[in-house]
Amino acid sequence: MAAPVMSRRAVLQGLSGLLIGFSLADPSRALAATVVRSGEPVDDKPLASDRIDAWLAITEDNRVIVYSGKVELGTGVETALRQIVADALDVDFDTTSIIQGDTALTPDQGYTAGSKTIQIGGMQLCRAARSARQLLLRNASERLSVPIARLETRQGHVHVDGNGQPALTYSQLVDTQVFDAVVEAGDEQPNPPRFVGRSVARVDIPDKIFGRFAYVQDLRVPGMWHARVIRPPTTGAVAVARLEDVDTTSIPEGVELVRIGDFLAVAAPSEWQAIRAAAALRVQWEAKYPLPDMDDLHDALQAANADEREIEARGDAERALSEHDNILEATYRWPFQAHDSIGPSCAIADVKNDRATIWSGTQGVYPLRASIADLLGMALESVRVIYAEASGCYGHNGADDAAGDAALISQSLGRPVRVQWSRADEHGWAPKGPAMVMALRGAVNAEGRVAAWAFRNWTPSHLTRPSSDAGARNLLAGNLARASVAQAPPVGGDRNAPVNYVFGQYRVSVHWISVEQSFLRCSALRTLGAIQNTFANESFMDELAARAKRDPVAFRLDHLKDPRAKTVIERAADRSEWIARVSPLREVESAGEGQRGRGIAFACYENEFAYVAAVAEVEVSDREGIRVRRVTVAHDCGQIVNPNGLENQIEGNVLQAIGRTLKEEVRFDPMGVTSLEWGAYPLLTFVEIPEVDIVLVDRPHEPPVGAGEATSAVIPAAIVNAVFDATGRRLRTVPLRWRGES
Amino acid sequence: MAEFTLDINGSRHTLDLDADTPLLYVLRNELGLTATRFGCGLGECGACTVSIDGRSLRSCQVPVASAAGRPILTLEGLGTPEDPHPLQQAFIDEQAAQCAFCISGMIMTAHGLLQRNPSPTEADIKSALSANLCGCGTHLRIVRAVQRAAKVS
Amino acid sequence: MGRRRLRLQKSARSYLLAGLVLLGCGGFANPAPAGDQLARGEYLARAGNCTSCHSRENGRELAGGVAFDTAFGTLYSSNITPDDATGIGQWSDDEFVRAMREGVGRDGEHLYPAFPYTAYTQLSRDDILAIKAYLMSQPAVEYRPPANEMTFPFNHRSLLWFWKQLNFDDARFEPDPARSEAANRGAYLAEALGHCGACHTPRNWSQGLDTGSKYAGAVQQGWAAFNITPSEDGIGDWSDAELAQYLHNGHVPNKYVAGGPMAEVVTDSLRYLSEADIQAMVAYLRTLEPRAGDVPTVQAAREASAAIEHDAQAAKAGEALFENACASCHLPDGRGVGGASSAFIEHSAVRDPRGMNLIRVILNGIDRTGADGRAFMPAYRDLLSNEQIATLANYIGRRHGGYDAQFTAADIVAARED
Repeated sequence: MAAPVMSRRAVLQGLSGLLIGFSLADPSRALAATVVRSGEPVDDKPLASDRIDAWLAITEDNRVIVYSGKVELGTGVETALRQIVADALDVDFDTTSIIQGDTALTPDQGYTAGSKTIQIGGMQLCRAARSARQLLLRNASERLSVPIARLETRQGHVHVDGNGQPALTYSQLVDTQVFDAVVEAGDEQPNPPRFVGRSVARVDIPDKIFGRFAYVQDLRVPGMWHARVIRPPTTGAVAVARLEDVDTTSIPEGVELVRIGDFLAVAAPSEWQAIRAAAALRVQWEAKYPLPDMDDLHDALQAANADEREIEARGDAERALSEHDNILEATYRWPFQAHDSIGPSCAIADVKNDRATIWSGTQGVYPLRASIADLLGMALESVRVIYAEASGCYGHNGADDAAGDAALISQSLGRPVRVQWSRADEHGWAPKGPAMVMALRGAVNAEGRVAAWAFRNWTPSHLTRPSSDAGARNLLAGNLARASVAQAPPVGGDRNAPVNYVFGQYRVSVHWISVEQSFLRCSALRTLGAIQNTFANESFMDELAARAKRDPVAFRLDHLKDPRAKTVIERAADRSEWIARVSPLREVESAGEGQRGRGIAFACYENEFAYVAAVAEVEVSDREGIRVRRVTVAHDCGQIVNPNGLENQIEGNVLQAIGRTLKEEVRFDPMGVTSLEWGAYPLLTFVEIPEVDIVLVDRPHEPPVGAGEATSAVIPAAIVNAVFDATGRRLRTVPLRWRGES
Repeated sequence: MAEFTLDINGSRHTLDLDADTPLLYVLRNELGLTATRFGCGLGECGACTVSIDGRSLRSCQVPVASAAGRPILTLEGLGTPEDPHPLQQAFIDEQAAQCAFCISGMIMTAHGLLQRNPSPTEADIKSALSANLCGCGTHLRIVRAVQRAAKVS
Repeated sequence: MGRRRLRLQKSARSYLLAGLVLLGCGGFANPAPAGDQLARGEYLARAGNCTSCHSRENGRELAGGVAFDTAFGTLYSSNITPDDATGIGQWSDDEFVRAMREGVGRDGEHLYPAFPYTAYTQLSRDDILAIKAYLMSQPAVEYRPPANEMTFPFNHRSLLWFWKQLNFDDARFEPDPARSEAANRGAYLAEALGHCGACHTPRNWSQGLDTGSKYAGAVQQGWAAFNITPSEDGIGDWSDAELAQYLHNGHVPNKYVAGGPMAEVVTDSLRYLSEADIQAMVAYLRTLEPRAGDVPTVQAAREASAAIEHDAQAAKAGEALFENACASCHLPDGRGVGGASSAFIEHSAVRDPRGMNLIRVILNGIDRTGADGRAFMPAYRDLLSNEQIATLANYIGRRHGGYDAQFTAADIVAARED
């Protein structure tokens, strides 16, 4: 069998040379990094994030190894992080390479999530690289007995007095203990950036295009078996099915059964064998209905026993509203949504008595290690989790759970095991983006300004990721094996619940719904609560503008002080040739052959990071329903690292968010999720995509902030506002439906 | 188990297999041709598309017995970095990928389209690719890449 | 089937895996309740197929609420779980028997004949009470279906008295001595329990069954129920084995496939029947008077097919779509790979120039569980546009169906509404 080998990645990245690295005094230890992907033990690689050598190493042939706890999820950050390091360390981009997400090799940078890779991870690396450059200069100064002021760096070399001939290479400067040093704060960018701000081609794309890239789904280890987990007949936030009996006569020859509590799996030497065995296995479950009627979902969320917590307030919104006789009230509803990774989750685990190695597409190798160590009953340091890229994930999909599955099965069978989730596993069992209800009340005054604004929402937690606190509870395998329930701190539902508009009378509060009342198991999905809350806030802003008979663009600008916020709205309006209007343009009972309209929405991500405004142009017809024809986005995320990569992310956000607005909805019956494949949980298709026009607002002197999800947040409201503009009908429930109930 | 001879990317392979094994698992597990991806196992998403007898088909739905003896082309057989197929070059030039998990299938479906229709309109391309799913939202770039490849080839 | 989408089978839910047909779907049915009457009641309730009409998509089993669009308005099926307030928990035996036999509700009101009491009236009291015992053993669900939305004057139930005079005969099943014992058993299953005629027999002007065209085929809820009499355009050329296999499994490899409401009947009812009872139904169908149906024979379609002029441009677009969306399972020549994806021309849905079932199967897919396992075809309603589905239906109709299909996007929109 010709199997891709674990070390291929390392080889492809040019890591075959000898690694000498910052403070890696013993070259033989550094050499171990060349076999990282094979899972061979690596001892004593510095990992503490305040140390330069946790982040960087330089090889004998003057190449730079970057150790990143943030990982490439298909967004291009591998390239962007290398651009940042190349400039900060002053080396050629092509001499850099990255090792990502490995608890034995990379520092703990938490999750790769929340659009924080460049914003936080990139800046950590930048500081480390700048400190490293300072160290190199100091060392060169000592070595050459030349004051630092006379030295400069150029592309991996140190020069004296601007001399064209380099005096030393970086690699010549790092073979002593001197570089065992801590990251220092400060230090300006050494030279004008050579790579940051340029559309450097993504380094991962060619291998993916030629079929030479190994995703986690493609990895194989010697002696590995294939396993499939047999899921209970019910899906819910809390498992209610109990495994009663397995008909052992239904287990085919050569297939192993693993049963731990309610966790049930089959494993076989060949994948097709395992698939067939899982399908043929006869299992008796005792189950009760875990879920209420889907039609009652949003009422049930609002009826949940959930404490109200105030997030922000100014003035006394309640009193202002009670004094107004013409207040506007609106309730907005968002469904459960799935991660819809095209490749279902997969993981490989090799659990031995004294140590375990896990290959996973996880967004957080360290938190996953903690949960798996608990699941296996092993010490933290005995478990190594290695990131291997999977199909695009947009949050906490099934990757961690698949790793838990594989670990438990491998431990039970005493051999390496690969678990590949089925499509139904992914659609049914991966954590869901939460359903939410947002209720707003507001009023406008005679001057056409917002007199009061009150926002409340009802939200499950958006975070049930693995963690050291939660341990095995936040892995499906843990839930099933131990009949436990996920731990969910109140996170995410408040994201972008506040607005950046300045209102005198203003109150924002959140009702946090417990796991037990959350219907389905929820966790992080792109933007966390920002897409739901911005959908509500920006729809309601439009409703108030209509009530005040004001142009939606001017109405927004009137309530903003932050110039960056105003700029993106103005740029989006200009580029889309926005014509000032009072929406709706027309009010129609039936959209007939087609009505066109435009809507705008704005958000500042987490109220302090990227600024985004979008104008959507829609066409509504009775036959085809709602079609988005054109979207114009103006985007300000501070300094731009890679314009093409940024546009790629913005386009992806626009298209995915249109799908989330018009099509995506997890359906369930009282037994659990019924939308278990793409026909029942459809994505946007090629014939439905609009034109997308992007205005990038570059601010080279502002820190770069995340761009991975901000745009998603504004798309739903831009669309419903455009539908209102076109037809006079205000849709408040996602996915939007033109025909039927709305 | 029975013996099947498969003609893949110009090489012949004789294997002992269950006749109902989908071609997908043979390519990935027996032959290490992992560019052909498992996405749904139901023929819905297109991630496992390969060319069989010149037609773009979903290998998760084709039993190895039906594929035996017919010329099969996978992404690995299309081109190499040294000698890229115009479609591959166009996808790189357009940076037409995010996670890229769907891209093998996109390229193999587009390959079938261009063989049948060397100068497709934008609408032709969108329609031909519409049963291939992309989760990241790379559609605009994929369409541009196919247009670019059509111009070149 | 009203606005209901096809339901996913719960027992098979976790096993949505590769391939169209999976043998031996995992998961047991609920254990049979103790006692002869309960076991018999369950079998009879399956044979009478209470589930298909009384279980809503995404709703609880037997709790009702399924919408039926009729010529006179929309009806909703009732809750037949043993809930006291909203179900049949408080019904006496006599009340239940009266509803099944006379179409009269608990409060003495006439019931709309969407509830097939015209068939159930033939059941023995023992059998009716066994069904009741089974229903009473099921979980009680508190759920009140929506109120019926009948148009005037049909919202007045008293009109149903007249309807019953025209269309209803309150009489028990009598074996026909001219038929074999098996055929009589089959008649009881098909007529009294399975109410095959409710879909397969055309309706007269008053929406009663047109007994003069019994089983010749009809249209119900947007779907064609085809001719099942032993004529050449019915089941005349099917072998007994094929018929039995179709009823029990929902398909005959490379020939026939049950979709739409018939797939529900297989899933919810026929697959549970004994081999002997399936054979009995086959025997009974053989005794029916042959009648002409609406769909050309395979032979006629083949001949017509040769005469069709193909528009090269449309054929190209259709072929591209077919290759992308259909060919992997159905193979490019439409001959299929065996199993449930079969030769297109054999399907009545493909040969039917009205195209209604063809379009609906593309829209809604197939999710069927037969005695031999599960078959699945994706629903393309949200995967393809109206234009694309029209293009596909036209391509299939012309290439394989033997008629000059000219469906438009508007036809697809109309079919979506059903």
